[in-house]
Amino acid sequence: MTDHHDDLASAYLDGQLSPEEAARVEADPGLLAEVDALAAVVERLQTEEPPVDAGTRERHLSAAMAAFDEALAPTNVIALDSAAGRSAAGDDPTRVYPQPDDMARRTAKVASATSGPASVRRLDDRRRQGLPSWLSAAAALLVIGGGIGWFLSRQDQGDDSAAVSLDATTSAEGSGAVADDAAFESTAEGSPPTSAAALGADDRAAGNAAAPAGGNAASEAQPVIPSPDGTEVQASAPPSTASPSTTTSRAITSAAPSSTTPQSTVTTQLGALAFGSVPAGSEVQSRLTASGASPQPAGGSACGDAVAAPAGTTLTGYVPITVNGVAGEALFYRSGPGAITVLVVRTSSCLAFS
Amino acid sequence: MAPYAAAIDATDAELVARAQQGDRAAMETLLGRHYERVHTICRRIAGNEADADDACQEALMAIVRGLDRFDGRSSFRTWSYRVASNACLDEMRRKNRRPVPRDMLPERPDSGPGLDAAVADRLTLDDALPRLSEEFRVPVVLRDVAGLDYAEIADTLGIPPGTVRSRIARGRRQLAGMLGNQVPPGERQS
Repeated sequence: MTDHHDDLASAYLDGQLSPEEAARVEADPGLLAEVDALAAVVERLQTEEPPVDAGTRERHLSAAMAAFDEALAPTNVIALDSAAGRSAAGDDPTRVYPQPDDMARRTAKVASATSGPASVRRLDDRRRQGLPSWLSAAAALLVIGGGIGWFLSRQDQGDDSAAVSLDATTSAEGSGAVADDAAFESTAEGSPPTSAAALGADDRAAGNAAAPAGGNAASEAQPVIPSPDGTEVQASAPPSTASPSTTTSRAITSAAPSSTTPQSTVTTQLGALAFGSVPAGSEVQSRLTASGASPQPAGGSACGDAVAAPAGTTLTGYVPITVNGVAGEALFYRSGPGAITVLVVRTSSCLAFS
Repeated sequence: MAPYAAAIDATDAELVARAQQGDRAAMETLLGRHYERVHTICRRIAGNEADADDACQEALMAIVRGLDRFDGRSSFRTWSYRVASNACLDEMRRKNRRPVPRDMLPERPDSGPGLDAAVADRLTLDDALPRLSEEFRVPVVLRDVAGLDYAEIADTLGIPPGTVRSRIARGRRQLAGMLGNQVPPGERQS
């Protein structure tokens, strides 16, 4: 048997021969025998495998569906009524997955309000390409130390260059499930690596569409840095050219306008239960605010102190902060060993904006 | 009609359209419908159960994440098997593993007289495939298990269609030799 013969017989099986070549095969008993032998191999390859055991199948399909849900992460916003501090998505605070019927609607709505969908990347892949663990640990210590130093220096200087604004856009669609989504967004330019570093956020903020209003944002005490425990939330800034949104959102934005250093951004969300479905080993990149380009309204308030801890999470640390002169805390929650850490900004009283 | 009940009767194309709109039931039905074949492809490409397990999970996730890019020019079946094949190959490359040599594979149950012919066939095929070099095994699996045509295999592997044709032919021939010279059931050496 020659390679040429073998090639012909195999290609004949696949219907890849010209009529002339096929006729040649059919006229050659040796080639026909070869076709039969190869056909037997193909038949064995195509023999149905026994079904995969149920446990393995379930595990595989669950992981795939989790990826499906993660791809729609922005739709998993738990809308909070900031005044009442309860979920507008329903009485069940653990509700994470939107119902199929409203998936598409919410996806479209979020897509119109953000410049890109959330994406989830496996940390495993990133870590394979990353630094050695000892170097990462050293870098983390350096960042934490820098953060503490930054806070102390800010306190000493009484630096009031940071501005805080509370941005709200209102909606004509007040009754929809998404219409009353509320989100806090905390943006710190030249930011201390408190929450940002603790959460592994390294995104750089583009200019915020909402112009900062007056106010200060500075820490009052040394931060308690939570241990992300192998997971991190990586958040990114809202787009500078955000399209007008029909959703209601409330955001706290702090920025140091004179800084020339790259901006760091931490985007947070009240009751950020959207992360509850993210499995261990995942990294979340999410745009959580639906803040549009509408000018800031004059007057208004938002109450962060009514926000309950995300269901099923454990408080792992906090950073005392002041926002517009109002004492508050940046709280870090973890939903389980190796699970995602979320950040919630809470203030002791309602925040006013002008 | 309940979402899942509606999904069961839908065609692949309908399910894809709904899944692309965020319909969870549609996505779940699609995956369930093609799961067994995807798993088989991964098993055949990986050459062993342990790697196939990881590869299959990666493959399913790749299908989910890539669904937005599916434009319907081919059938979902063809597209998903191709995505699965790529995911498996990527996973194998990441692990940087060659197929485990036969003598290092976990000992298989003795194919004694109680084993029916179909199981015996599968065991011998399971033994033979990992012994086929990846160069030949992957095109053969993509053709005979995944059902991709030569052009699709060429595109997936980044090799010319003529090379695909010759590798499939040589792979099949080697397999035929291995399977034709196998130790009969009951006389296999451990």
